[in-house]
Amino acid sequence: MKILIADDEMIMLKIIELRLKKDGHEVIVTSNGQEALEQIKLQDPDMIIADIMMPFTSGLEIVSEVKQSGLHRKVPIIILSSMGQENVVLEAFNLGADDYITKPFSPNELSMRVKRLAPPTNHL
Amino acid sequence: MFTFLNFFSGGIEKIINYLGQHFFTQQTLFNTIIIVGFLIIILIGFIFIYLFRKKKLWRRKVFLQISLNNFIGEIAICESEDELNEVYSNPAHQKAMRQFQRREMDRNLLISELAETSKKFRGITMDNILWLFEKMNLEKQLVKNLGNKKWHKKAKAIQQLAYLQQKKSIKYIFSFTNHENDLLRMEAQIAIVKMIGFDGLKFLNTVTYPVSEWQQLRLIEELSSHHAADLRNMNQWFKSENLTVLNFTLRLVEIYRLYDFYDEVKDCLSHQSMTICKTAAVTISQISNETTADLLVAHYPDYDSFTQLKILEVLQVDGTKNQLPFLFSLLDHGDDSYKLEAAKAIVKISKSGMEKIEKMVDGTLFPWNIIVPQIKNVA
Repeated sequence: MKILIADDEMIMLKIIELRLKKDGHEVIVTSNGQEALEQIKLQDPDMIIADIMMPFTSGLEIVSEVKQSGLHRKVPIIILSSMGQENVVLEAFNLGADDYITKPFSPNELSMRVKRLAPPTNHL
Repeated sequence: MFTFLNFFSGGIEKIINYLGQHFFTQQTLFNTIIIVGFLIIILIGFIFIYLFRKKKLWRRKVFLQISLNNFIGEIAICESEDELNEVYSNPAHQKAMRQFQRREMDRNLLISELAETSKKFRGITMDNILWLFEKMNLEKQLVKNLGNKKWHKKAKAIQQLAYLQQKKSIKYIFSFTNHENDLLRMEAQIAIVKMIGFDGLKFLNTVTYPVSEWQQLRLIEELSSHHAADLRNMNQWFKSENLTVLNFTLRLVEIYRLYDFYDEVKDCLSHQSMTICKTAAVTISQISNETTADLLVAHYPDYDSFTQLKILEVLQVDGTKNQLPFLFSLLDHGDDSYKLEAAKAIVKISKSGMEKIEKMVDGTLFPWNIIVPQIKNVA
């Protein structure tokens, strides 16, 4: 499965990238929201994992844009954020996020959630 | 333009001639210009060297961070001790690690990266980060940083030791829990509680500096992520001469409903500090028994309006028929807030309270025309 990760913290990107590659996924890493939106159009990922607080475009804006677009609206999106406040989580789900993970988190847990959200044809 | 330049250079020549004739010789002026010019060149050279060095250090830092991210990333996702050892002993990683061990600045960079990473992950990943920290014996560097002359470097070392769960270093951190520097002291107190939870509160036995309101909130927040432990050894905090320690202890009794300390809290109701009395009044309402209401009424005249109103709120929950005469007497109080709170308490305590109040007051006049509909809702 092709998964796009958007996070501005390099170590976070690296650990998630390595974890998902270990599970056999193809990973596209982007370090800001704008780059993520461009790569989504170019690479057509099967799943998106995005942080909320990012330069240029936030994770919530990515959710909103992707879910409103015709082509990628069915792509599952996992939000990964240190913001655990109820209103933020609810806003993410309202915009169309499929899952929400609060930092600190376990990469193994992320791996399980990715498996659970994977489209049936791509199940590993 | 040419005319202007001619005029300008002619002007300078005139000034030089004037200065030469009236103040110093042309030779002195020439020498001064040479020296100043030379100093300017040295200054520019120094700035260039400084910027070049800074850029070189920044590039090196970026390079090290990239290699670190790869290494930490690989370690972080390991699933067994064997896998950890295999990744660690990879020759490429070993070479990089030797470099980090050589220079103090690099070791500190490595520690910062590990501490930052530990904040964002939990589970096996967190355990792997701690494994790497210990494998590389980096605790020594942090303990060394605790001895740094700059307070902010000490504070950073304390934070990092806490994030990296270095419980062995508590003995070093503990000495900072009563440090004269506020920020250092606060970080040390938080660090110990972060690592060992309620046991970390032992610093309250020795702290002589005030534990600020903000710090008390931070400690309570930090404790909330730990299992509530046995807090029976709090007796000496009740005897503390540090009033902020006593205030914090009362808050702990309130939050964790520590009924065993009822008598100690009761004694605090007649404390010489009004702040302690206020906190004690709120605390005792959370661990109340059948005597609490009478006790609060007995202390009522000694308190300020904030605490008195608080007591009336407590009586709305814990009050008994014993307090009704006292509450009825407050219906004539000059302050309408007292009337409202007392009336609410009466209605809650007695079924016939509403009826009695309506007989006593004129419900058509202010403030009772507003209070009566409100307490009818309460009833």
